Amino acid sequence: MPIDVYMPQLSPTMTEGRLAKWLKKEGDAIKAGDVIAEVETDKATMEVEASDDGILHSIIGQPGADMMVGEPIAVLKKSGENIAADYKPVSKAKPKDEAAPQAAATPAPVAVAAPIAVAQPVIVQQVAAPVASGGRVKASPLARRLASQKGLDLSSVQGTGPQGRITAKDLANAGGTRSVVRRGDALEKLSPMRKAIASKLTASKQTVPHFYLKVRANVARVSAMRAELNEGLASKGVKLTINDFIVKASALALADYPAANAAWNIDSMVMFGNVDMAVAVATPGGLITPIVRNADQKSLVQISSEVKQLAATAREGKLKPEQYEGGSFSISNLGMYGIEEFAAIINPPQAAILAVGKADENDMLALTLSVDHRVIDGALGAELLGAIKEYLEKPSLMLV
Amino acid sequence: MQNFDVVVIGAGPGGYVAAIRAAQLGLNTAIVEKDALGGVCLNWGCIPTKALLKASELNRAIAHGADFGIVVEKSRIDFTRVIKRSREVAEQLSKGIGFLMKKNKITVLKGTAKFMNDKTLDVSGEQVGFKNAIIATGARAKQIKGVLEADGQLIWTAKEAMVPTELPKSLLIIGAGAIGVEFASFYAGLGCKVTIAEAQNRIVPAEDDEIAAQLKTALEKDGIEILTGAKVEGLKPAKDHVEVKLNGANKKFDRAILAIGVLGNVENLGLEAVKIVPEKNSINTNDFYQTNIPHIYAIGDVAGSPWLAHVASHEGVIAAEHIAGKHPHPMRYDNIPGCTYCTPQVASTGLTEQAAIAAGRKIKIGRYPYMANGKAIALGEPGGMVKTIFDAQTGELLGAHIIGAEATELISTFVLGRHLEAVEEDFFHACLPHPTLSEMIGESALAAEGRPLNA
Repeated sequence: MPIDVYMPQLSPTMTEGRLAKWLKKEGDAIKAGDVIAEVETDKATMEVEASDDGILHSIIGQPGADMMVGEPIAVLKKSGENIAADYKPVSKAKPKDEAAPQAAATPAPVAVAAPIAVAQPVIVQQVAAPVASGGRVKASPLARRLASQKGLDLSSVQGTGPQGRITAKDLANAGGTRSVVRRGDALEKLSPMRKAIASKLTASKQTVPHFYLKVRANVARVSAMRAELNEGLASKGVKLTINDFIVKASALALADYPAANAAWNIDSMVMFGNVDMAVAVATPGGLITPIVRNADQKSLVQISSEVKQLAATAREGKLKPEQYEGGSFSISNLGMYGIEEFAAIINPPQAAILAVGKADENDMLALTLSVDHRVIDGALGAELLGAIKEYLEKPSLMLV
Repeated sequence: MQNFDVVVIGAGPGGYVAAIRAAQLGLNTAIVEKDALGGVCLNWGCIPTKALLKASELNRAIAHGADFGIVVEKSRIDFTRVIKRSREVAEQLSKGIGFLMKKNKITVLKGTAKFMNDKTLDVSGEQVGFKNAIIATGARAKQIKGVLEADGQLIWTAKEAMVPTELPKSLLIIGAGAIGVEFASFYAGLGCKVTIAEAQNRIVPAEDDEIAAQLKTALEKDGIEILTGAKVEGLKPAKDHVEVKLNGANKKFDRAILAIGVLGNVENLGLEAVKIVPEKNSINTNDFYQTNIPHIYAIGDVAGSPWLAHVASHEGVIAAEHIAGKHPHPMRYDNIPGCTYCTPQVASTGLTEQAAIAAGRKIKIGRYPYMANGKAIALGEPGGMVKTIFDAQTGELLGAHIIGAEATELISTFVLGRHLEAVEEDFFHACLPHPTLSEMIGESALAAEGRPLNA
């Protein structure tokens, strides 16, 4: 009897997956536990393992295909077994509407946001300078070739040859108005990760009442402490970053104000038992927030090495759900890009996110806290942010 | 006193063309000439030598007539007639210039012009007023006093070499530039034993090395002795022959020709009266040929190299247009063809391979042999090559060099191509007629791309 292989649900929020790659081909012998394919989910690229022994009879899901959880992706057979040519596995996928109990998280495309019509490629020539009469630009063959090699627009070059003909010399003297080439727009298929970011952050901006608090913390002492610690820890291969201190400071502040370590739950509030810090990491596929659990209780060195590990794993697209799900508070740091300050969108169901910029020449670091007003009022938010600032300005407090 | 908008001094190919252009532009123009209209080019240079060379080529053709099935049992050179025809050609064309002057209402003043001041010329005693003057007095054969000096009888300059009364049996030509090798081919073609002595270690120094080497081989095959790096001492006329020490050895020749260059005619012009100071026998000018006195222009050989008739004519046109208040384009000196009418002919424009490399250009070279061209074979002219040098990056034709039959006609296509800034594909995309020697133009460009069709 044929064994149907279905698109597995690889994380609690996964409703569909994209077949990234088949690692086995039709006719290959398979043992239970063999990794047969890789699937891109909303969070990461994950491996699909075979649950039975057999021979890979047929592949149904082709690489690149988006398939609902429960849709058949392959058929296995026993060695020597004959399978009817018209054999078709039955889908166990729920119809799409039912498949998404968290409707808010994956809303259907809104009517207003009708897909944009893709423009055809258009090459816009700049209007000819007085050079040409009758539309044709007079230019020598060499001038034309040089212009195309240099990407210069001939119509912007003043010709000095007979009747305004453009010569090679004119091009050498031309200031160089670049020809403008407009290219057509392209539609790119949404990756599961991009879809997840879109639905989650759209829901957050539309449903979470954000307010924003800003302070500047003097990080001169953090910098000094960091330099000193790094010097001392260099032999152990440890190199703390300012961000590690911010993670630690935020975690301690949350531990000091447990009322802020909470989440909105429609008819209740979740009061988190642990301080789990989500750290935003940019990956080629998009943004993801791996979690340093119980960061308030971990040393700077522990935090530092965990963040490094998680970030590396995230960039490879190999985070496991337990490494990025949950979390009580997020930190997003764009200081390394030279951003002075910015405000971030809350990562639901969390109630706050800290946006960190780049310290200025006076060691002042801009911190912007985005807060869910349903959970945290202004005063509590201010106390929380004040505590973060306090830890950063008196970093020795973080060591006790 | 007659007054003119423009007085041109000298009626060579620079002067008479300048006068015509000035007259066309409505300027009241006079031209002063002490000798024959047309100058050296027409009377004592380009034109009469081409007539002489034609006679020589005819003699060669008759010698090869049997190859074509035309057997001439006995031919004879009537040397007097050879020279006479050459003079007739010059005379006819000189008359033509007279006609052109008349047609354009240009006043021809016979005599020698000398500046009295910056407004007046003395033309053989007559005062002539001018608003603008164009000095176009040309050049003469260079001699080195007491070392390489012509006596006009046995030791000639080009001028005397054009009108000998009899064909010398042996001839020494000193200098292997264009003039030297042309006379070599002329005399050798009529059966004279010719020796060329050249101080440099190569012949036709303006040409591409490869072409010059091929020419040397061809001239030697024609029976011409070529001594490069030669040391010429004690050149002197004896009773009926010339004595000379060539590379240390005493030699005798019937006649000798000095072809060691030219000198601008800057003397006896009254230049000091207008404060124009020539440098090494040439007058300095700007791009529009104005001297340091803005309304006095100088063009052609007297304004320095390249000493070529076609250059002088172009300069004359630009000077006249500038005087008329037009805005002529300055002349491009990087695309001036050089033509040498020896056998085989040599013609070139633009950079030589050596110059292109020295200029730091990355080049691709096309070589196409006459041997592979149907028309050349049919003409019985299988010797020669069309060599093209392109910029490897831009496809610009940097230089073209031809040795072989009608090279001097073929070069014009390349000159035009360079003038219009053609790139390699223009030469092979243009549909050139078959069967012609011109097909080699396209084939050479294809050869530079590594894909000649008929080779």
